[in-house]
Amino acid sequence: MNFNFSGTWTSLDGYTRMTTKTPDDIANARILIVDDNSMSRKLIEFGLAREGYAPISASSGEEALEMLARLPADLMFLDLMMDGMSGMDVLAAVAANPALTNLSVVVVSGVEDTELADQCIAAGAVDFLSKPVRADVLRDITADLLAGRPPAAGGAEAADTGEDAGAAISALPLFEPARVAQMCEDYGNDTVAEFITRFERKAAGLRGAIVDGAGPDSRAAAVIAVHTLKGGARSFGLIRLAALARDIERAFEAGENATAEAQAAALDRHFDASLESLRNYAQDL
Amino acid sequence: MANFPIDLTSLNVLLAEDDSLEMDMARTAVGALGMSRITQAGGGAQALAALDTGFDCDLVISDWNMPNFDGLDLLKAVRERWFDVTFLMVTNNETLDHIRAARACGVDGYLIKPYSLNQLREAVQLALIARSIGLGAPPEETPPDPELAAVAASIRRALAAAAESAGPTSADDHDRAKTLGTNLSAQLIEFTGSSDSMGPLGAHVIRLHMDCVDTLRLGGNQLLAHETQNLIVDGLKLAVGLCGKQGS
Repeated sequence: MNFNFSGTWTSLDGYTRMTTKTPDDIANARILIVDDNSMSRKLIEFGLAREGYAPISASSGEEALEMLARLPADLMFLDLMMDGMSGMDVLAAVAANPALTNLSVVVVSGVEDTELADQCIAAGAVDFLSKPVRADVLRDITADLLAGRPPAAGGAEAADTGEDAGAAISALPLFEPARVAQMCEDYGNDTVAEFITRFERKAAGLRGAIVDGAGPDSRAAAVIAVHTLKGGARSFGLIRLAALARDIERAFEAGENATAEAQAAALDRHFDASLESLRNYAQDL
Repeated sequence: MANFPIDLTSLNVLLAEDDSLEMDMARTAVGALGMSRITQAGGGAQALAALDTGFDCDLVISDWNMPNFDGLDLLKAVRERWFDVTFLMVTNNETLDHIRAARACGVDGYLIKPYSLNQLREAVQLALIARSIGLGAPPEETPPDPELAAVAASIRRALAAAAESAGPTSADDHDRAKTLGTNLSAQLIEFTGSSDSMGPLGAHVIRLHMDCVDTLRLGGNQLLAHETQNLIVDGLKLAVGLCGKQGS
């Protein structure tokens, strides 16, 4: 079945996306996002739309296969754990269908798990990304796969300018009070207020070590500091800071020092606002 | 097998944590659970030294990331030399690869920071149960009751299938996995506190629960599919009931 994908692509839910401002090759790229969680789906949709693509979405494996039967796609971002058909089931169905040999499937998983990634690749996926997918990773992998190039070894090794990652990071709240509220319930306000004061002092030192650690001389200290800050930020509900610290930690683990450096700069930028929102909350304790 | 419920206040606890704020937060938490016999060690090596002095330790609660001699090193040393000491890893290392590595070294419990008091209580209780089971009968042995043997077999088939599947991938899955895990853990803790758990079938039922909780944690999210979840939950309730029948 042949479709002409010039200009617009009307998805099955009736939503039409205009793509006239983008070059034909981008506008004509047929990308399908499969995830039963609407927030996860929208994050990827948004990231691709920003690059000028016009992806369509399916909220289940069954729906995805039905859409593929009618509208063959070039690229599919596939969630693993869904009600009904799982991502693995969809992978198997795609592999078994000779009409879909040109479809590249990128698995998107909520867990980072090398064994699972290997299973997905063995089942026919071209790559395995863990959520949340970084904007730059999404952009690079999409461009590579649509151009017929192998992906640049997945999300982990994609270069990062710090700016692109900032878009996804900035979507996260600075501060989520539930965690501190739970601590207050468990240990009492005074104890928690004291912990917060101590954390603020400690965090300032960790920030310095992380920013300095972008250079090779003090990297070992930065690796420890970023792990400690990740834990502290999580303890006190500083979600954005925790996500940045986690990204830096992973970049260090993977030996991607340029990425770590860019992310450290981002952490530096988001630091003051994060601590201020915590301080504001603590004042009322 | 140990007697349950264990009185947490009577436990000798060793805390291993290199960060002073984290240490104070951990000490506050175990104190709030009523544990008062607490020894603090500012690192893995210090914790090992404390154990070496012949300190009668019941429970080690250890951070993973510590310089020089880390939590995993400490775990290996404890498993080698103090087999009956319960080891709970409390860490910011959240990946399945980390959990698997700790499991491979014989960890009894794995709690990801930050945690609420209830989560810590549950993790400590489950870890203590896990250690007591670690010392108990081998799991392969068929229960000496045909009905329980049949229930156990169907649950184990479901677990084996689920173990092949992926872990939670969406926020919804995480919530469902958490709820199911909490329910199974609560049922397990309640059961270990009952006299039925001491009967001839008790160890089998405890181990069935532990394996379900374990599979849930190490991926195995097919457990969240409705049919499997019903099979597991109903099967475990039935198993608990069979113990009561046998005891009376």
